[in-house]
Amino acid sequence: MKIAITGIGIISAAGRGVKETLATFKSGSGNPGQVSGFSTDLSYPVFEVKNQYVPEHKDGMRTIRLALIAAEEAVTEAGLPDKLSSYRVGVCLGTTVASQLNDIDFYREYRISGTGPAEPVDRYLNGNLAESIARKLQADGPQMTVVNACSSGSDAIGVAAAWLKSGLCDIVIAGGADELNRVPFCGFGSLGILSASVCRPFDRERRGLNLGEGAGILVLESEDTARNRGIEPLLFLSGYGSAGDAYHLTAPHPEGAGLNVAIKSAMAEAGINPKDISFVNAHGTGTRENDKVEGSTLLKIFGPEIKFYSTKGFIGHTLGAAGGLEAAFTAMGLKESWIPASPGFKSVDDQIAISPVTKITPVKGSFALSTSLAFGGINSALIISLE
Amino acid sequence: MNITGIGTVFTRGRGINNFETALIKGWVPPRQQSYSLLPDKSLPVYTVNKEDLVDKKLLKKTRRADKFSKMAVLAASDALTDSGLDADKIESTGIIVSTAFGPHATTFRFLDDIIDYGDGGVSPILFSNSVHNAAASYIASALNIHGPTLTLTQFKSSFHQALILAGLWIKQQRCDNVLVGSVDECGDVMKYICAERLEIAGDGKISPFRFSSVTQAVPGEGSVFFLVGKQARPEQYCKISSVITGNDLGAALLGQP
Repeated sequence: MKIAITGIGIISAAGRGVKETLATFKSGSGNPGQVSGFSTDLSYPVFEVKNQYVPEHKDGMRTIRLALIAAEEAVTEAGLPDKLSSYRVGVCLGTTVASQLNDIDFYREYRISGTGPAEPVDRYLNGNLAESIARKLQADGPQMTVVNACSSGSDAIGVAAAWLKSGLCDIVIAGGADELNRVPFCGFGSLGILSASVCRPFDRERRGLNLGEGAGILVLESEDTARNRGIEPLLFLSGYGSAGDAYHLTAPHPEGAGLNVAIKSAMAEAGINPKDISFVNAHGTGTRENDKVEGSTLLKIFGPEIKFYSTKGFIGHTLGAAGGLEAAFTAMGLKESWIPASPGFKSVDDQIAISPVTKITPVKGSFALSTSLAFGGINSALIISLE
Repeated sequence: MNITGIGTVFTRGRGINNFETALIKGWVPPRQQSYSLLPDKSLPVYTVNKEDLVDKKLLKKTRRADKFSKMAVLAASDALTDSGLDADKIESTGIIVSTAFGPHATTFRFLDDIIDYGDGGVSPILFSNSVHNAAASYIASALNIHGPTLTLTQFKSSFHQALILAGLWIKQQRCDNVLVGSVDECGDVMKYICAERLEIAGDGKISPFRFSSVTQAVPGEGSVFFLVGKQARPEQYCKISSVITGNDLGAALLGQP
């Protein structure tokens, strides 16, 4: 079964929607700033979504609002607005923040008085990401919220593919969403991997990552379903691979063992060889370890000429949204026949030995790869294709 | 798919034999446990005893793990052992962990750090363990499993969704076996939430077929894992032929039965 991508929805610090995001990519740089969404005594730069795009609501988490914006864009592009109930539509979304009851004000009051305000608890209990989006869009198929840390979005897309192949549903709204939140901001700070300046993925002088927020969501369906309802597929999801390092809770395997297997497994599913890959949308967080392992693995599999880039200098590390956003960016690269520069990269790291593209680069070919590496040693790879 | 091994950690101990013994011996009352700072606040809870989480063999790989992850690792390890899966078959094994609330007790300990020591004074170990997929990571490294690994969270039918996915991974040849399970703990704040939001059976007795509009509940915690595979084994428990879930799109979790 060929799995068609019929809709793409994105929102991040690079903009809302494909058009705005492409314009930011063309500009060559992102626009990070200090945290404005919550108070903190840490001063690392972050990539926030403009508040004008995400109006405040008392009921509902910001992550859900971000996901809904992206989902509605994707569903509209897929020609589905009023027809969701006519199909078995599944929702499979990845996140990190939306899975946790981590409301500091609630907990502070609970510690003092032994009771806490009801609203944060209600918000949490009614705020499972996939369930919420399914409810809002009246999607009556299977639902799953994937919490695989930074590969959640990619793995959600992989689950969606499995559902479609099995006939469990006709269409899946899949991807990831995450808001910038004080708890992971403090957590990543404690791990010593937040950069005090703008991140520089794969650069010799890289000092860590910048957090971001957003949502990247695809509408996936079988090619037959799409064509039967008169929709021309935009692109195809041709392969998905996932493998674990079984090595460390927070560090990747030094030889990239799991990533190597995940990429090869995705290519095998797509029925292609390394030479068929036009470009790679790398996870490229800007941390010492991630970039060393990922760059070395890409070199090992694809050789020194592989074209790759990281968009973290445009949008930051969006955690559970990253895989969804980067799948969308990969699709956009194939469709537009160009990929953006990797902001922040200046000099080659001898331990990596290959460089991401440093300017807007034309690309040819039918297949592209998006990689995700996550806490817990999880590695995922998606192959997106034109045909 | 075939269930060839089962592991469980629950209020009456660890392992399928203890579970069977508990079923034979019958009901025992849950312990009344206090929660929050208020002295008069307590409710019956089936908690897992700390002594049941000590395992010298697995200790090295899980020494930094919290209760949530330890329960999952022990249940997963026991399911693997129970299945008798050969070491050379572990290579093609995936892991799927389902949970409703994740390692929330650790999350609140991390929030303690933020409140007490400020944003820059928090523990990286607590943060790492507060991530929902920490348990899956500990399972992978403790049991040396390199297959696809996924954690999912849902308040409804999370284990059923995990089983469906395990079946698809096997059918679509992503792996030959899957360690698929569920884990949840009942920390202090969760006890408070249960007391506030559920109709608690004060005497600790759940009456499943009471046919009342309000179901009385007793909170609990624990973990169970199945080793499922495409290969039938003579000693296997049973087969799962079909898993079907449905949605109640109109209903939010609260206020609807």
